[in-house]
This record gives sequence, structure tokens and C-alpha cells, in this order.
Amino acid sequence: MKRLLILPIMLVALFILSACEDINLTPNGANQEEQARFETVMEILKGYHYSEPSEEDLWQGAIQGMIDSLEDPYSVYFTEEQYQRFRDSLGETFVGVGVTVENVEDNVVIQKVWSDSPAERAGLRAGDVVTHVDGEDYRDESYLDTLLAVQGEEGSEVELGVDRSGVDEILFMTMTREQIENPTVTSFVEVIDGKPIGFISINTFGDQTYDIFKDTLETMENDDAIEGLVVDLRNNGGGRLDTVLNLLDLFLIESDKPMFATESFHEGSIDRTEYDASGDERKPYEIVTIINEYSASASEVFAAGMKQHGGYEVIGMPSYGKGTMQTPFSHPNMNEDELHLSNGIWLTPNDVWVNHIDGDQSSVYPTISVERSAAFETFNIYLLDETPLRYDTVDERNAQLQIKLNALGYGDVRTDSYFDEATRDAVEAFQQGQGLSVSGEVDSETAIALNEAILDYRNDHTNDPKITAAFDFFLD
Amino acid sequence: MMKKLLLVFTVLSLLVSLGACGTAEDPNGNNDDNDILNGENGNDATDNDNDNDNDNDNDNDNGTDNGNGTDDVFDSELERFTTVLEYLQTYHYKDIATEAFFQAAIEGLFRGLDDPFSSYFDASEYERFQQSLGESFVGVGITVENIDNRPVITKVWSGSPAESAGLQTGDTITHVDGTDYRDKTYFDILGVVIGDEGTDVEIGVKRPGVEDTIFATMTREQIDNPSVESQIIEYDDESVGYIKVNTFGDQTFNLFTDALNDLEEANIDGLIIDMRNNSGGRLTTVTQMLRLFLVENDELPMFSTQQIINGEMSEPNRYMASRSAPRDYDIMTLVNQYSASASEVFASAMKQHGGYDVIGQPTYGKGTMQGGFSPEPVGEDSLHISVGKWLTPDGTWVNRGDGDQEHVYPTIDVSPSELFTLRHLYLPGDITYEYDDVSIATVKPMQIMLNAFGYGEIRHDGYFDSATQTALEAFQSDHDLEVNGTLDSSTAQKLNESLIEYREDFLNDLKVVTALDELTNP
Repeated sequence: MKRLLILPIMLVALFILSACEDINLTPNGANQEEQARFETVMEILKGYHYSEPSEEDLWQGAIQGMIDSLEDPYSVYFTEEQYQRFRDSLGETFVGVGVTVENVEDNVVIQKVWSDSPAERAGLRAGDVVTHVDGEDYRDESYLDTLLAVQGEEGSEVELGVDRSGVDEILFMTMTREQIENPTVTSFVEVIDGKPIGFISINTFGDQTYDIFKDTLETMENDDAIEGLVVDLRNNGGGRLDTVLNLLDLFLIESDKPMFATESFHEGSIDRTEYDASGDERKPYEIVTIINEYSASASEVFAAGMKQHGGYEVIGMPSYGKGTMQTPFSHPNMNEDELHLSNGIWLTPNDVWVNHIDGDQSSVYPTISVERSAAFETFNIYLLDETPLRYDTVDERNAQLQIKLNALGYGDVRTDSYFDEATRDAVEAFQQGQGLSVSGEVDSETAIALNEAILDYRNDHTNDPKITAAFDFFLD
Repeated sequence: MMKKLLLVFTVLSLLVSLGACGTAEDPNGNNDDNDILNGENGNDATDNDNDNDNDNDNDNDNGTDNGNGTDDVFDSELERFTTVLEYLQTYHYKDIATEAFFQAAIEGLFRGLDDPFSSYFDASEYERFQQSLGESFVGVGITVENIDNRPVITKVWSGSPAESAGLQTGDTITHVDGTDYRDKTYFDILGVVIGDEGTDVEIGVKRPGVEDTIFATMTREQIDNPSVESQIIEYDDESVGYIKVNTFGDQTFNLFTDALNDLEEANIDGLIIDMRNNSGGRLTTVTQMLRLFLVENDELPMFSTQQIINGEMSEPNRYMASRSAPRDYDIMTLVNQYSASASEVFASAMKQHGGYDVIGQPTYGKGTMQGGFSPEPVGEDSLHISVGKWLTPDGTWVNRGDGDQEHVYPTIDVSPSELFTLRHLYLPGDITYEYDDVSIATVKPMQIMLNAFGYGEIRHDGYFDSATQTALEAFQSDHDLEVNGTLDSSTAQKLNESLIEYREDFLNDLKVVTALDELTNP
């Protein structure tokens, strides 16, 4: 599953270095030879390659080659436009038509239409398969190519053609790309065993995340008198270092350990910085942090700080393991482009480097381990060719069906993708319960109903094993 | 997709040598390949060579002295490049040396072209590439298949070091020279099995049904890998010649001519030329081979080529046929989706110029040709670059992605039977499958095999039902296996062997059978 905007997993340390450092490559003998070799290769490609590559493209390739050789997915050379998109990902909105899409057999399938979005107003629906963009037929193009064609500038129009289940012809709809709300902080208060408990989820550590979080927390403390707090960092890929620094400082109090430390590199030497907590009083309530295997970077700084510095519980699964931090570099020679370079690493309060490739430890480990439930992992069922799923067949979608039926309480059937009699009975029970015609076969109508039912199931946080475990913590 | 252990480059190459290739000390590039290219079209290619050499001289002097008005772009791009390089050296936490960055930049230049057929070879890569065009290669003599990212041996070549050392079909390579490679990828393992002639390699394998790793040491040697194989097929009281061309290598034309003469002496009634899985080779070889069949025609070339000369695409160079009369028998060319480059030149000429049938599936679609460059600053390395295109007799550029047409299309469409695309059964950790199990990856191919081998007409969707069990028991009984109705490793091994035998029988090969029917019942 993928938002229409791709959020890079990045911890941005926003110490922007002076933009006009004097760049002077003083080649030694070996470098001169290497440089001559490089320039010879470039001249030959420019002169003889049949595609007649442009000088700009060749140089861009060379720069990309150097960056690839770092074997570091977090060091990135952004063109001006890519950089803008990256910046957007740290804000509270992004430009789009307001759909979440899914890759189904290399097709772009609408998984969710955001409420009050251009897509909703134009009439797009979950389950629609994107076939045309601006008049071009994308049925033979890849998922990614189609996705790229859908993306564009704010205020520009895009015409999408979609194949909708049960409709013979392609449906065409035009919509205007606009700023879509994408709040980094969402929250609610739940009363557990007579005690109000606050729940705050952070999607990314963006530019305004700290202010919004702080306001939310103050409201919870003053108006709801919360007696406990859950901070949900699942699927949070990171963000700004100063944001997570300020957030930790809301909770952690002065100690001989830092909340975290960083080590930055410069010409082979290392600058170490320790970030100390400034508070003098612990919150009067307990705080539980939830993480999963996609909690990365700044999320891990937060979870490790809460665990090792504050002694708070962390619930869920071992985190992603990204222990580097990136610094943006810009320079007049690079025009408006930006180079994001892994310029250093961050360390936990106990001075551990958490990095899944080469760190001291590959993840931040939870204090209370809770696995995800299969129902939260299932894919939506799409019948692209309208052939129903039926008795005595083997199909990978049958396994998704079986997991959904079990989660929704319609049976305890096998989940190995063989559609047996028990599966048929469970499908019939589901159809009965939903007021659908009872056929024992999963047709488009039944598939859509199942997809919606499982979405409702997931949206009910009492079905979420990690949230349940976090709230259970406050039961004592 | 099968892969020979030594052909690491899946580069499908149509080799046209342009001057400087491998002859850094002979800048006028008077080598054979060059002469052959020139022989056809006079001066164009020669001029091209001279330009090439001049440019290289410039590069050696200065590298920016390209004298065509783009100096400003070059300078500002060089500044941008140098700035990034400086930042990477100074600030990246891995602290990488500058020399490595220039090599990486060269690799980036190639990757940026988005052309899988242009490569920068170091000396040993270049040598291996050259070997792929010869009649032998250095190796231990095994064919391996990538199954779940594990190298599984699917053939041990007879008389090879691997056979003497006792490696067997079905073995999975786990260790090389004492290092455990179980957590590494298929390509990582392949990379270390390859080595120089005369060196020893110790290979550890997991054999189905054997608990301990089996270790065997062998010496890498020259393995025969003939580019041409031929035989006579007696069919319907007629004799049909069959020649398989695996690659268009250095000796392929001579071997092909010999084979053809032998077949003609045996009075064949028709000829099948099998270009399946042939990914190309030398342009001169395919030119000579086409001239064995195609008849002089002033209007139509057998094919033509176009190259970038002085930054512009040249007029097509036409390669003409020269025979006065066609052969007195019909000829069928077999292709599949892995027939590429020179194979496609051959198939399209036989079809469009000769009017012969082409049987099989649409070809790969590689319409570019590569030339070699070894200017002095790259030392022993070599550049292998797509310098131009080839066009079919009617002037069509066949190239997937951006050609006029994506593939060479057969005149008679035949897809291989499922048995020819099936992968071998592989049971990791000696897992077994039995009644009521489901596996699309393993049970399904087993069911397809059992059907093809005549053990029933059972479902083949991966669900192990009771009919599947009955069919499997019958197979086990016929092959002196324990009759337990369970797919275990010894049963899988026998099924894999039966699959290989099945494929080796021409009469199971739908494309060959179609060609035979066409040739014997015109």
C-alpha cells in the first residue's frame, strides 16, 4: 500500500552548513589518472552511443553513480522538483487528488478515496482500476509509471479513466490536484477502567508536528485530565531531528544520560553532540510508546529515549533500524538541487548505535512484545477479470479471503488458499449476514463487502492487538 | 530460465568492432572485424574509426577539449560534479576514497544510459565476455538454475570436473572454498564459483535426503561449449536436417557450414535452424550465414545498419545477399522470446528476404549493436557500447521499448508446452507434501509433470487431492521408490530427471514437431 505521495524514510538533521564553502578538489596523481579515465569514457559515450545522450544526462548519471556506490539508501541527490516533494512530506498537506492506491498485479487500484478530496468529488471509488491518465492508455504500463502520471502540480487538472467492477465501459473523470490535508498528528481520549487515557499517533516528525503535539497534549492534560498516555509511532518513517528532540524534552527529565547523542563526520574526524533533557519533573502519568517494524529513524530516537532514559514501556515489534542522520547540502554549483548526505549517526541514551546493516544492534526492541494480527495484514480482494472465487479452487486470494472470514468471526477455516467446504460455509454465513445473495462464491459484490468489512474491523481500535495491549497496561 | 555457470553476462551482444577495441597500441584499428565491416560499405566505417582515434587523443590531452561549443555546459557540469564529489568525500560517514568515486561515476554513466547492452568491462570481465563467443569456457561443467535465489544444479556436463568430483543434478550449492553462502544470493554464489583456468574450487552442496553438507574439490578447466549442434531427424519417412545455433561466435560460421554440408550429403528433405535461447554474437558471422541461403536481390538488403558518426546517425549500410539460387529444400527457423540480436537479424532476413517460415514466439527485441573501445586512459579495461542499430530488410527497427516494432514476429505462432517452461522441483529443508496440502510453487508443477508423463489426468492447480496421491504412487512404483504417496526429496529428484528426459525428446517439442510437419507435409 502506498500513498500517492511517497514518504521517504529519513531523519533530517537540519544543521544546514554554510552554503558557500570553498570547494576545491586538489587531485593527487592517482586522482588525475582516474579523472582522465572518467572523462575519456564520457567522451566516448557522448560521441558514439546510439541514443545520443545529452551532456546533462551523462553528468547526472555520473553523480548518481557516485551516490549509489555509497550503498546508503538515505543519501540522495534531489533535483529541485524532487526536493519540493520531499519538503511536502514534512508538512501537514501534500498535492494530490486524495486517493490511497495499491499495487495489484502491476495495476494501480484505488484502495481508499479520502473524504472531501477531488477524487471523492469526481466520483472515484475504492476498487476502481486506473486505466487511462490524460487520455493515454496505461493498461500496459507498469504500476509505477501509472502512478507517476497521476502525480502533478497543484492546480493542474488530471483526467483519469477507471475500470469499475460491474461497469462495461471505462469511466472517465476529471479532477484538479489540490493540497490534501495529511495531518502528522491524530488523537483521541479513551476511558479505560474509569481512567481517561490519551492516545496520540504521529505519522511523521514534520515541521509543525511538535507544536500540534504540544497543543494536543496540553488539551488532554487540562481538559480531559488524562491519567495515562499512549504515543503511537507505528509506520512512522522519521523526520526532523529538532522535532523529536523537542518532543522527548516534553517527557524526559535531567539525568546523567543524554536523551540521545549524534556523531557527525568531517574530513575523517568525528564531532559528538549530546542532547540532554531539560525538564525537572516527571509527568504524573505513565506513557506507553507503540512501535512496529516500520518505525524508523526519529521514531526510533523517540522510542529508545523513552525506554532507556525515561524507563517507560515500549510496546510492539522491533523497529526498522535506521541509525544514520542526513544533512542537506546546497551550493551555487548545484543550482537549486539539494544533496542529502548521511553525515553521521545517532546513538541511544546507553550509547548504542541502532542500525540494521552495520550497527551495534539492529533494532530498538520493545519492552512488551506484541505481534501484528493477520487481519491487519490482509490485502483487499480484487476480481480484475470478474471471475468469482469458488469452491475447490486454489488461488492466492483465497488465503486473504480465509483470514478475513476468520477475523470477522465467520468461521475458523484453513488459510492456505484452498477453498474447501468450510470456507464455502463461512462465505455463505458472511453473505447472509450482509444481506447479499447467498451463493457461497465470492463475486465482485461480496469482495467489495468483505474489503469494507475488514476496513471497519481495522478502524475499530479494540481489534488492534497493540493498542489493546497499550490500554491494558493502564488496567492495573 | 537456465543459465550456464560461466556466462555471467546476460548481455546479448551483437559484436561489431570499431577500431580501438583491444588494440590500444594500434590506433588505426586494422583488425579483422573492422575489415569485414568495411568490406561491405567502403569508407564510412573507416572514417568513423579515425574520428574515434582523434577524439581519444583529445581526451588524453585534456578531456574537456571537445571543441564543439559545449564547453560551457561541460564546465558547469564538471563544477557540479566536483562539488558533489567533495561533499561525499568530506561528509559521508563511511569515509570513502576518491578513486572509488571515479569508478562509481563511470558505472553511473553507463547506468544513466538506460541501456543494458552497454558495459564497462574490466580485464577479466572482458576475457569472460570473449569466451562466451568461443567454443569453450572455463568452469567446472555444471548448469545451474535460480530457484528461490538458490543455485540448484540442473545438469552436470559429461566428462567435466564436476562429474569427476561427484556433483549431482539436484544438488544445491551452499559453500564455496570453505565459506558458507547459505545467506547469500544466487548471483553472489555464482560470482565465486567462477574463476581462472587451472585453479581449484571446493564446492559444498546440500543433496536431497542427505543430512550433512557434501564437499567436493575440483579444478576449473576449459569446458567444451559448441556453438553449433546438428543431427538428422527421420520423420514420416523423410529426412530433416536440424541445426541448433547457440551463439554467433568466432568459429560458428565454419562449424555451421560443415554441419550443413554433412546434412546435404545425406540428402535432407528440409532443414530446421534452431535459434531459440540464442542471444546473439558477431555481426560478421550472421552475415556469412545468411549468405548461405539468401538469393541476390537488388531491392532488398538482408539487413542494414546505422551508426552514430560525428554525432549524427548515418545513412543505412546495406548488407546484400549473393546467391544465384535458393537451396532446393524448405527451411524453418525456430525462435523464442530469448532469441535476440544476431538471432533476430537471421530470423527477420529469412522471413522478409527469403520468404521462409519462422516458427515460435515473438523474439526478444534487441535492435542495437555494440562496438568495443579501449582507449589508452582505460588501461586493460574495455568499453562495450551500443553504437548503432540494425534494421530488417524492409527497414524496420526492432527494439523493445523504442523501436518501430517490439519484436520479430514468427509466421507460425507456437508456444512451448508447459513442460518446457516448468522449473525443477525444489524441497528446501527436505520439506514434504502430501494429501490435502496446497502449494502453487511445488505441488502444481508436480501435477503438471505427472499428467505429461502419463500418470493420469489430475487437477494441476496446486491442491494435493486423492487423485494426485494415486498418480504419485503409480510414479513411485514405476521408479522403484518407496510408495508412500508423498512428495519427498527422492521422488522430487526422480521427477526432475524424468522432466529432463521428456524435454530431450524432439517429439515432445511442439516447435520442432510443427516444423517437421510443415517440412514433410507441404
